Amino acid sequence: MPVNLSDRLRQVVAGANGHLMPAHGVELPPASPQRAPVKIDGRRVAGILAGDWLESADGAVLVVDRYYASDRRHGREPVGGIVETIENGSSALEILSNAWPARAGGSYSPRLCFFDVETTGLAGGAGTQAFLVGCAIVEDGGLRIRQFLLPGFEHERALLASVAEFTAAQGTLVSFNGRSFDAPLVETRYLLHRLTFPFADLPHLDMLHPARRLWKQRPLVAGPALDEDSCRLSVLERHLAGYHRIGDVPGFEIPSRYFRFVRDGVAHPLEAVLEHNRIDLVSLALVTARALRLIERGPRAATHPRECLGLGRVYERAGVLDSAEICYREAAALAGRIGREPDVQADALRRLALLRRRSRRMVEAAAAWEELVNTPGCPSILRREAREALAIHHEHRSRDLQMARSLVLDVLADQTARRRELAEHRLRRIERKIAIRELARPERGGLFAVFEEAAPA
Amino acid sequence: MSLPAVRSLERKEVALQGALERLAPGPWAAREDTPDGIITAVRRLPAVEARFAPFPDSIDPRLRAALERRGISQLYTHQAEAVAHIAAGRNIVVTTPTASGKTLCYNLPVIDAVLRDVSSRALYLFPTKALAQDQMAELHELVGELAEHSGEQIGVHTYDGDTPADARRTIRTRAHVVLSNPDMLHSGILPHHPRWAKLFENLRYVVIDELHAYRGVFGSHLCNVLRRLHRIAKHYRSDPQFICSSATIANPRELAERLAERPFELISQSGAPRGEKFFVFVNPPVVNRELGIRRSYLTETRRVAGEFLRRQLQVIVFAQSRLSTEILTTYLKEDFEDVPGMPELIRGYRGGYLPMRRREIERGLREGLVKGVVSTNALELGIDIGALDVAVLAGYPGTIAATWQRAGRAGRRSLRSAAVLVGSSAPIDQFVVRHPSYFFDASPEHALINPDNLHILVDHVKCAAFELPFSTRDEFGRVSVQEVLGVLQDAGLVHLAAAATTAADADADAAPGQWHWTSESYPADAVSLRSISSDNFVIVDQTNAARVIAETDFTSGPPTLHPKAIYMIEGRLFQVERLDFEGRKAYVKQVDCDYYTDAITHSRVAILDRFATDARGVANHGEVHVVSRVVGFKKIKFYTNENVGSGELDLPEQQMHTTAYWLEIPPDILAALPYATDDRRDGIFGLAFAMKQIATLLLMCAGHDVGLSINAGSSARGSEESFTDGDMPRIFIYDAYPGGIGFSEPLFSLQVALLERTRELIVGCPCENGCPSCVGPVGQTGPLAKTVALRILDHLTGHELHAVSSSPAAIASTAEEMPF
Repeated sequence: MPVNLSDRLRQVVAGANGHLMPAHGVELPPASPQRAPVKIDGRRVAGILAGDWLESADGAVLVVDRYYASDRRHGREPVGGIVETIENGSSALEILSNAWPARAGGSYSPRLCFFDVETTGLAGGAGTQAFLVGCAIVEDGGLRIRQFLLPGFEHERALLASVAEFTAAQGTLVSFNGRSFDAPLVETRYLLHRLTFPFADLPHLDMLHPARRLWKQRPLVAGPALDEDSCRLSVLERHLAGYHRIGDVPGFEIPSRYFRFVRDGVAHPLEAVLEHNRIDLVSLALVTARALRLIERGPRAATHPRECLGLGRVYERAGVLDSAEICYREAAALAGRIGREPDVQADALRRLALLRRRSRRMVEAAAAWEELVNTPGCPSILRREAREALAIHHEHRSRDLQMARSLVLDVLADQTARRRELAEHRLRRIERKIAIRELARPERGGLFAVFEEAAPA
Repeated sequence: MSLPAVRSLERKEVALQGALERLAPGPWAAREDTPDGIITAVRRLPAVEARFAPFPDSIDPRLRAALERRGISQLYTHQAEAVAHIAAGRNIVVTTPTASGKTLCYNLPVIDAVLRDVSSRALYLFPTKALAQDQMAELHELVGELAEHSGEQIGVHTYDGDTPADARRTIRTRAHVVLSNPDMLHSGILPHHPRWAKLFENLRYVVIDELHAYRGVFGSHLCNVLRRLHRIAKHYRSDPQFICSSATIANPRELAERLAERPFELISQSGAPRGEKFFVFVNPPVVNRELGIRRSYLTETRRVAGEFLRRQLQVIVFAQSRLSTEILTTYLKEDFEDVPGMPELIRGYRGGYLPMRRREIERGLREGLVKGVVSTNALELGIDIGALDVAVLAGYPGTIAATWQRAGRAGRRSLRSAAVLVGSSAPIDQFVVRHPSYFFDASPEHALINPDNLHILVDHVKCAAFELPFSTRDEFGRVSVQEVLGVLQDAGLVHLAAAATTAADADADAAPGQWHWTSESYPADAVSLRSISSDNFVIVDQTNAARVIAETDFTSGPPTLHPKAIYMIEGRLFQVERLDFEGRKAYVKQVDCDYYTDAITHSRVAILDRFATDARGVANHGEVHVVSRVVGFKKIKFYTNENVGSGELDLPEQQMHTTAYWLEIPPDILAALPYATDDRRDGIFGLAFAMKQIATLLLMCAGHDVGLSINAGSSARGSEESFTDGDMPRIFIYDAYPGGIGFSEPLFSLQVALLERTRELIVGCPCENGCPSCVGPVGQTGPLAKTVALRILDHLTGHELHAVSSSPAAIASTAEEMPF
């Protein structure tokens, strides 16, 4: 029977419920002597990971610096091409900053700094560390990648200071899901050390949102069937540039590699983590470049109706309504020609109709709704919406009451439709109007007769 | 006061008098207790005059003006006392009764501090979300008043699981007063403390309301959560004062000091006025003397509540469960069916009702629109429902403290009120209604916690390490945290790194190392403050589509979720069809039946370490190893509690180390009894049954908090062998939580009272040969169980010289022996 504290503790810690399992089933981990903190040999680690060991009063940080020249390829795409698009993308960037305004205010300045953080967990909170901060910036037609690795928990202030110093010279942060994950997590680290959070004043463009508009659910032309909904960076890089990761370290393995490093000083498994981070950064630059190019060139650069539709949504969000309208029209037309994307076609027509209605072009809006009603394979919920919109149009604007009536009857014919009472109410009203119109004909005594007859009701 | 109001007050006085006369005729002034009657006691609690104190000069004039506009022009003495202690930098715990203006004791210093220094922050903790909401409404009125007249904007916000994500950011930085609960502090605030830096840097006060709710497992967890709070406050260089309020328990100051690990001042003398109050104990009449069956306490409650409702008095009825709440509501509505509009004015109230409906009922009670409410303990805590005329308690709430708290729901400051306790046939209820002086004259229970229970402590060390690294010099609780961290390191959860050598705090004797959290997990998610292990069973309803309807902690899984068990939730009954022990799932289907199930658990206890033995060598406490297994179950009919069937089960064993109190019955005492071995054994079982009931009464704990195990000697049933020393008969009352939550040591020190009270319970029971109210139902214990149990007790308590029969004279007054 365990009696001393250490054995009892071991029993409590062994498994979530060691105490409730049969006693013989409890495998106690062997007691190990109290270990002194592992001393990391900075020079050796710097050698293994090919970086620089920088020491300051706040501690040490390992800086890994790489330059990806313009002729280097990322899948089909040369780095130089990515960089060129980014450098010429200032007007597209302007559109993006109107669509997704920077929290700090102002627009995205062209000096982009791509950043991506590797962490010891996904939960957040004070105990989740950002142990690797990777940044990529444009330099001499290529990409300069600088990674800051935390060589031990005691050095965190040094890492935070280095990152702050580096990003201070940048114009805009670009991340993938960084607004909701990376940035708050890094902010927590600065807060914990009661240091100023350097990103607070930097505009932050989170590419996840435009990427979702443009490429979410895009079916892959080649390769094994992938999750259609997937909008992960590793999926995007594959279908935008045909880049395939080989020997990439899976995300779930990253924290344990780092823990092993701090615990035992084993550095070489971190090389794959650094590489993973670098690929993410280049792919992020690629995704950004592709989005900028699409926005720059407009719908004719789109390769797929869905992409074209997404581009329209980006324009619309940014308030560039004429371009948005062209995109929706093109997307609908393209989808109609292909004939296999009825949902894209319907969505594009719906957005087109709404856009026109918003700018009070009612007849044009009705034309889009009309087209939507006639789209084969159109989702029934959209068709119903279109019919209702058309019924309103014909009842109140074109005054074609018979048409309005027949549209409402179509809506009611769909047994599954919800909110039937609304349609029924409309039907009654339209029929009343038709009756009044009938009565108002001269041969029935003219308008006065109508009023006399209608008055008691 | 206007004339009609006076008339209505007079009318109420007359009505109350009339109802009481009808319930308990006769003079009440010097009425003797009559344990064998239906009305066992009527006590009069005299009215108390208000005692006022002037506003301390230190209070900000703007706050004072705001209070004066709200009709508060002077303070009660206890409020002034609270303000003075707080001003002197001390921590306080206030235990004045319900409706004595307790909340002002903390709102006053908190708002005053914010007015003086807008950066000041306060954190309020309530045991439930509903209480925080209720308190926020009250605080909003006060700060609204301040904003209107002096333009001071004081932010008061609740922060709990329901707080919308977009509001959280603002609350973290702007709220002066954050109203939350321990669970949210534990899993939502402390682990994210960097985002709460503003709060922690400026944390002046921590207010803990309903302190008495934090006992047992919950209290032991809260103590550790507060240890974490202290660490974080220290990191941000703040040192908050604690302001606690508690119901009347025996040890409020000790509880506060154990929870917060700080010295406290106790404020127990209320300056608030109180009207005269009558407290009546009712014991439903015996309908079957032989079996000890009494009339249903629900029927009796219905009768009593009806007397008051009929006289237009506003009544709150407290029921013991959600089911009985619904039953009583239905009964009372039926009784007033022929009074137009009256059934609608009688409402039920319990957890599970939608918040809107609950708010509507609360408002109806405050405004006098709702005439009667039947509630679970949901209305026991400080939700503002105003003061009613009468409280009727259907069944003893389990503790003296809770009884006073429920009774306190009736009673305006200047008016007469009444409280009626209707005892059920449960042993504790019977003991209390038959021994009114236990309730009226003894001090209430002690609230116990054991924050250094290793299972609980280790969980919080993990959470604390996640929040801030431990230095190699840190302490946490009374167990060596360095040793805990060493073990956690072996499990890969923490890592010892060198201390940061920062320019900021480069003091020469910085600790040599720091323990950092090295796991991807978020440890607070795995720790529930309401149970001791995070492992649990989920209950899957397969009536229609499979869906999870509830969960229960690991330990209570087998006894409540074994195959064929009836599982109850919100009055609906489910039968367990299959228990997937490994997968921790119970599959249930909704059924309609008239019984519930009660598991039969066999347990063996082995003594590991004996910490102490009493002078007579019979009572002990120490550490034990408990192996228990659910071997079968009984089907028990609702309302009559008849045993209507049983079944056998084959479930895995559960084991744990815990602490226990045990009684060793010297073989020579047993040998001296002129009974057969079987009857002696029955006597021991009967004694144990009764002792466990009394133990829960003395420990202020729930029935499932302690386990019972009996070693009545290993000799086979029916053999004539006498007990040898090796298998000394023992009755174990053990702490039902792994590691123990601190029940056994107090039970050991209370053991004189334990045996005396047990004896009183058995002696005073009018049944002939044992019943569920004393030594257990006759069908389960033997025919002589009651007699033998009493004889054993006589020997153990020294009554053997002069008492054998069950004459009431034998009930010695033992109050002076109570070691409270």
